[in-house]
Amino acid sequence: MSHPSSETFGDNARAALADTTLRGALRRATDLFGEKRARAVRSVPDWEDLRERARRIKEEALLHLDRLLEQFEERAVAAGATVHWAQDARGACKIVADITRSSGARRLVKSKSMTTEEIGLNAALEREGTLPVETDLGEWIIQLAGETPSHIIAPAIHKTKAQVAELFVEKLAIEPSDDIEELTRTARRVLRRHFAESDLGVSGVNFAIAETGSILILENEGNARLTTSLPRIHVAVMGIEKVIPRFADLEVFLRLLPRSGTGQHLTSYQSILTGPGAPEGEGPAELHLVLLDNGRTGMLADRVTRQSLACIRCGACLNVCPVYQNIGGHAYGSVYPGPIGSVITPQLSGVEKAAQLPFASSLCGACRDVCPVKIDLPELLLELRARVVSRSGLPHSPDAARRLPRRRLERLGFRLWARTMASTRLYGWSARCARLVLDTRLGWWLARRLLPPLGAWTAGREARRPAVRPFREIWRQDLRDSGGGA
Amino acid sequence: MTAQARAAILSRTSEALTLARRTAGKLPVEPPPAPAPAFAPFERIERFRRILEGVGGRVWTASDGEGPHAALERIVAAAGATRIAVSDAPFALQLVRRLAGERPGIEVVPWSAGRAALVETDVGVTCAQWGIAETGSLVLESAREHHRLVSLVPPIHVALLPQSAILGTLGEALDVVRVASGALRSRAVTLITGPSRTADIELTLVVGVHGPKELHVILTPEERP
Repeated sequence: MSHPSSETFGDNARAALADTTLRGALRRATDLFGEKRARAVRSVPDWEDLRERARRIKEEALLHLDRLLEQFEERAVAAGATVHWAQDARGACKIVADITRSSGARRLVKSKSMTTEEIGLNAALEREGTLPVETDLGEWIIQLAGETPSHIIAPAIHKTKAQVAELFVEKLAIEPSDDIEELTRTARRVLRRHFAESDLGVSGVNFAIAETGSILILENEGNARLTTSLPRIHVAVMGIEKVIPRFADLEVFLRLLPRSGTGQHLTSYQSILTGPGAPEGEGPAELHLVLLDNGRTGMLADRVTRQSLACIRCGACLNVCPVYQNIGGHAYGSVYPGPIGSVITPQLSGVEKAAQLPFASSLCGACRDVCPVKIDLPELLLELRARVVSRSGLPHSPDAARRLPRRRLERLGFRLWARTMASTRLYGWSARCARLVLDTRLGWWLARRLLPPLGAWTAGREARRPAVRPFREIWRQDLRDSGGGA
Repeated sequence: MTAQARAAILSRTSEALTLARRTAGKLPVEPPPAPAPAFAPFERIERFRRILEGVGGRVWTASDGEGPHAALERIVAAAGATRIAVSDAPFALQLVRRLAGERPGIEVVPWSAGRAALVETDVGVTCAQWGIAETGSLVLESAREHHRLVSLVPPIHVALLPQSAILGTLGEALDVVRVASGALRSRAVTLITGPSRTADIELTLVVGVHGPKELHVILTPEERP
């Protein structure tokens, strides 16, 4: 099954807008998430305080990332973990495949991890003959369906229960039922068998604490606890930006992340793991931590882009974004959709591959308002737009090629616009010309059907008749001398 | 191979940040967080119970007219349970063995029995080292008790929590699991706030996915560890 690419974002978005089932599912889901989050935030009187503290902790952590990474590694190794470093996706997949092979692990289970999606781990392990079974319910559903996640927190948010039921009937040969409890019971039963036989568990990491060499994993289902306690080997994959300085810092993030993500004051389970468990008699004999770069170091130098690494993956910006709300995650063609995806995808995959994403926004700023770590997403979107526009090479995609003449026209148009707006005389003269044209029938007809490429601009907008007296005239003649009027 | 990657990543990171650090100036020192409101012990118990029951947990106290033994009896009877998994915490063992002694047909499965046996159990009984009033959570420390599988695999989890071990806030809980040097006492610290749940299908809440469907906390009068 082919997955939409970020290079054809425009087409993907149009297709998504035409999919009424998808839009219904998205509308219900984002409304509910929004409501729950708002209620949770209202119940915390010092919410803004917390956001500011979190922003500062992340700022400090990123500014001193090199020292903190070394400290984290030292403490983790002292606790008995093995720390691996990977410069890119291929390197990371190779590390996990090597661990799997050398340990003789045959059956793998996996808990939810966006980072492992980013590096394409499942496909890489499948090539080795050891496809991990996803155990998070939403992830398992999309694994069965051969799809990719459409939301950071709720991967199967785009599926209705009828679609899930159909999928289960087809893949698991169960009796048809679209009772959600029944479907969940089926998932529990089937996945328990996988857990019972698993040799190796792969997980992500929500936070890595430099001070103690520990990792923290949050969840509601219990599958991450099973994945990290039952098998004899635990492999945890994390982007290097997950490191925070002190154990006590967790308090701030534990207050923010569950509320921002799902509207809960805390998720059902938090596991704080330091080294393999076996020395205490329970838990894995081996803990492998895979520290991933994959483009993150490239974001560190510039203050504006460095903020993108503060993201704690709550998904709040997705839920509140009017673009995401209408097209869903798949249209972005990336592991990370929505506002945060629009800024990190071009940085991780290259600006050419995701040139349209930073433009998929009206810059309304709703994302900035809800971000628990106060990432200024509109600032980032503008920065990335500037990068896209200033690139000398042209994106080699059919979508972009079509826009080429439009690009040149756009540039010319904006140059003329800037000249005109900067000069009162030029502005007045062109406004007078425009009135002359619009006052004729032909002129009015033209204005409403303006030639392509500008035609797209007027397709969804009403042309308005000019006022009887222009404001310039009213100002000059009536208002200026009388001190501005009433 | 990974040593090469390590050197490359660390040097890229340092290079990128050296200039940034110079221009960033001094980061403002964090003011200490406002002291958390101090709850009186009774208030802590009440708050703990209210919040945990709000997310689907069930809290049993002496005011229910019964001690821990009677509470456990009721839970086991209501579930029709015959196989009970138990951790190695002395109080949990004592309670479960007493129950098994009084009722024939109840099989006791120790924490170390292995996956295959644990998967067949109906109830898992552990202690909890701490509770958190602010969030209605349990804190379990692996250094004190082998809780990881017994509190997770059976569909019902019963945790015995000393009333006096209910802390006020999350911050206090994060503090108490460390030793004097700042290191963590346990390899696995597990915070539990209610039964297992998911809303992955149409955002409809379903309780009891991979972890327990029921969480019972029996408050006991014994002293905290």
